[in-house]
Amino acid sequence: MLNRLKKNYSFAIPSNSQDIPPSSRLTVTDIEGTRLTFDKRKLTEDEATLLDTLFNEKETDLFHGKTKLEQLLYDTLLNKQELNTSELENHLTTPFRFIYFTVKGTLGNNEQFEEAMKSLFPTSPVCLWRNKSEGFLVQVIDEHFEEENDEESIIDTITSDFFVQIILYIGSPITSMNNIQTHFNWETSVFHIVRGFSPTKRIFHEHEIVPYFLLKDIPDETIKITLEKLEPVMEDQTLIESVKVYLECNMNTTLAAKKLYMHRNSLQYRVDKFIEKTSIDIKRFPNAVAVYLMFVLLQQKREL
Amino acid sequence: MADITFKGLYKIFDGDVTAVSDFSLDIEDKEFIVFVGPSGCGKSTTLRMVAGLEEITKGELYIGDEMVNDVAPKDRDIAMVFQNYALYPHMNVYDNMAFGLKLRKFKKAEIDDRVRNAAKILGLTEMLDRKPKAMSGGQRQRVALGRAIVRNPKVFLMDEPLSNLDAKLRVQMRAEITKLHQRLQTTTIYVTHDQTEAMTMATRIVVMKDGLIQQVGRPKDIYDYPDNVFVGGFIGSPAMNFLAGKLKDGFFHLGDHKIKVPEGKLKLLGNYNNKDIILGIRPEDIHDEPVFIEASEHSSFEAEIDVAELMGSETYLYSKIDNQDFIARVDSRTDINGGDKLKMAMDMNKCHFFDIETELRIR
Repeated sequence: MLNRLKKNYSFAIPSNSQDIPPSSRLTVTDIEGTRLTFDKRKLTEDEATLLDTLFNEKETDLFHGKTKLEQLLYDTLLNKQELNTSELENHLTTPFRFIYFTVKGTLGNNEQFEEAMKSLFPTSPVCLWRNKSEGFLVQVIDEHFEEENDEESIIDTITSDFFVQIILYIGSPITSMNNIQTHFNWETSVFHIVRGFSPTKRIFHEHEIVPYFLLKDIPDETIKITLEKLEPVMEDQTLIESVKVYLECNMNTTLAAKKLYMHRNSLQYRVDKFIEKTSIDIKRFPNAVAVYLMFVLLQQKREL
Repeated sequence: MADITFKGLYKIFDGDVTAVSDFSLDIEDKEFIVFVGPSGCGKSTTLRMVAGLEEITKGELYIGDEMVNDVAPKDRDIAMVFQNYALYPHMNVYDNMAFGLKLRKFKKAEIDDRVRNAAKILGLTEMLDRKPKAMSGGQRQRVALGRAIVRNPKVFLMDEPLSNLDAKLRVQMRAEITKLHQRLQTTTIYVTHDQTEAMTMATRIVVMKDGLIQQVGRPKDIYDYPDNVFVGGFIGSPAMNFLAGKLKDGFFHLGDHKIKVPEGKLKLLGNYNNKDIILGIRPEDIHDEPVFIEASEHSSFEAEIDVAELMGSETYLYSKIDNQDFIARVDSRTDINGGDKLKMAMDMNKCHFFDIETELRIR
């Protein structure tokens, strides 16, 4: 869609949106989050109104950032302008990480959402929006930083206040400003591909996202052959769910049993039953990895 | 406050996974209704449809007189409490409770009034300046409840709110939530996997499995008259015993054991003579008291005890009859050990029979 606009309205698209005054900017965003800024002065009033109505995006501080750092990051990461390492280093210390979010539902108030997110992820000086439903935080990993152990709780906090669902991807730490664009582009692309992978997967953490990314486009035949190994337990959803939680809890039976609200021995019994039925010893790490990937595939097929 | 009506609600994910099927239910104003069932039974999905967090695939949902299928979640006048405490770790209790009201542009004085009132109800007045980290799990969950209460919503939606608490605190909070409901009288839907919570807190229970309602009723009715094998086995701890056998000429045959079926029950079993059926009996309805056994000549039997678990005031006896496992719950004054042989008798007036194919209670 935006390519056609680019072609038909090339005369009204500035090479750098910062070159035109904010009041003359008209920014549109497609569903992929790609943004395009027009110079309103070069459009007729009708054209500007039509584009504005169709895409309904306003050029506001929401998207461009309110602080110098936000503006710099906006230009570097979203506007794909040349990286000015030294200037960024003046405003942002390493290491830091990106926390990407996708909002499902209508937010009444973006600023208060930002306030909430920054409160839930302290030491985050930046919250930038790619479009109305996607954005990211930059969280500095300094002496005030505390690793949040219960991200599910963060999602519930947002839901209870804003009545929206969010999907989060907590990226890995960035230690050098030189890598910022590559790092951001990689994480953004991968998150973009895997989010919504499963109706129940609400949070991805660092490289946990990779298996989802790798398995996203596996041919059906390959999936079918791979999942044949699970055939003996395929009908036993409870068993599959229990073993999945066991693997997600790093094969820690006590922790997994707590999560499943069951006695440790009952879970142990289920794990043994799985091993007996499938002949896959999931207490061995390589086998556990293989079964975990099979479960991700199952999830992809929405069978879990 | 409001009643809630579900009319044939379905939730189908991406066209092929049905999470909830034909869910129809009338919840009355001020009711405390509990959705209970195992993981994946659709109870949370149904709750999330009420909240508007999941789209309804098919069917109609009413809060009060208004159909809310297309009403935005924030406009449904509901408040949610989750299993996770859902608090802002760097805000104090006061700000945590006030945040939702600030979002909705309440005036400062109104916010202050509501927060202090909720804090008083929940016994948090002395803790308003504290941050969540400095509080126990139970206190944090009370703050989470406070965040919901201050909104004064038409409906409370609670999704496993006590599951993160340890067993002792859970019992305490169970009572607190019940008292809170008695005080506020707000229509509440409470989701849990824990049948004890369901039994102790609900005005009515909705038992779910595989996205389908299995039974709706008052806790005592569900316990005493389960509609099917699943409900009988899910509600009650230890679970109801199920023994497969054959009905023949007024007796239930369990291998070599013949147990007389009371006349009242027999009338219901007219079409089942000479057929295999399932006997369901609660552990507490299997007795070891000599007086009871003497009076129950036709339902007594002898069995070897595999394991005897002393629970304090009672003992669970694990044994077998006709090679089928059962548990009896007897008075702990009985001194029994694994390997002992014991005479027991079933209280056949309390038992139920289920169709072996449909697993429905025969009535």
